[in-house]
Amino acid sequence: MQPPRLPQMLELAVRSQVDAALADEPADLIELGTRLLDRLSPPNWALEWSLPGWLGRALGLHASAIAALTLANVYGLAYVKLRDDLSDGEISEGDRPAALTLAMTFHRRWLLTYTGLFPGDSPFWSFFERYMAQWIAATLRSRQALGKPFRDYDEADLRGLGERGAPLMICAAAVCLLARQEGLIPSFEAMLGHLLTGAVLLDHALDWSDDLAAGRYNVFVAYASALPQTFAYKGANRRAVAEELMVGNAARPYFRLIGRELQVATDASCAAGVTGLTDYLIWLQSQASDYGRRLAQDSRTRLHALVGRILEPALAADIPVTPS
Amino acid sequence: MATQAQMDRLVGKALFDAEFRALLIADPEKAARSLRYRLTESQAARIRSLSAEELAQLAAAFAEAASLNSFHGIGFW
Repeated sequence: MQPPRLPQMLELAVRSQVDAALADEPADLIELGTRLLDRLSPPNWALEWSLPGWLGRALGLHASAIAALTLANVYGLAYVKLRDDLSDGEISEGDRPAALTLAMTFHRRWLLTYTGLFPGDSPFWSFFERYMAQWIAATLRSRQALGKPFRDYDEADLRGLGERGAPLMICAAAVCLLARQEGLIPSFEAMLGHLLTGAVLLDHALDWSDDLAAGRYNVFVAYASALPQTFAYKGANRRAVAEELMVGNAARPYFRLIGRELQVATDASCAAGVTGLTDYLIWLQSQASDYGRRLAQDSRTRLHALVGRILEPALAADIPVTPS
Repeated sequence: MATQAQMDRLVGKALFDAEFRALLIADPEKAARSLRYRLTESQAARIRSLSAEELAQLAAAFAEAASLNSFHGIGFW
């Protein structure tokens, strides 16, 4: 099922503006930028493309302002994603110089779009600075263990996880300021904080195996194992995750936490009358709970096949250890 | 009588936990009781017939197989 998103006309208009901006760049940047944008375009990253439109419509912004805010958000998304990919070593050595230059290009375009909307003395810029500082701090933190077991995570730790997506809050502050409803910023910030925490927790559940292989700290692994996430404990951490999934609680408490975070965001969005975002959050909740269920079911199926082989080897000789 | 799901969990737990594995082979009924399961005579006999060494080898192979398979891939983002 596809996520709810903007009208396709607006997506196409924004994409063509980004393509036109890239057209002035050197050929290797155009090629890399086009590949990146293809990867980041809807239905992928639907939230980042659609949030300015969903919030803007709820607050009565003019279509031209919504289009400009959407364009800014796409530049911001491209910049943040490139920086993340560079930090995570996901850009090949050959592409690194172009990726660094392209990241600067997107950052410049991002700022230029906002400078067309807000004068230098607008409070917008302090929100911009604050959310970017949160993102930088959260990015640095994400490479390290939190220094406490997952079961001891408190409210601040959960919010800190969500700050990996703090740049998304920039467009929410921008919408409120343009709509002259600055007073809504704290409640939108809290709502998006819960959304982002839920999304980051889900992202870690999706990526745990790859993260462990790459030596990246992963919260889902921390949920299943109190061991340090160093290469020396890689095998033990994998076994701990498999044990939790197959003979433990199948990560149900972890997925309940995701559900709780997303539900708080859904209630806030519904109360604020942000219909598109509410629909998206309902969709995201269903994705998370479906994934949790599949994870549990898949694990139990594997376990059942193996136990069948152990207890009834003659009957179960053809059952594979893992499903194909 | 332990259900199939309970048998899966009983033997599965032994694959991850060496201490529980030793208990399961030595005294299947006691191992089952620790999980609040009850084995029939034939279920206990089947478990008793397993070799501890074989189970340990399977446990090692299983942990490896479990670790090699990523559970993700729903194309979420």
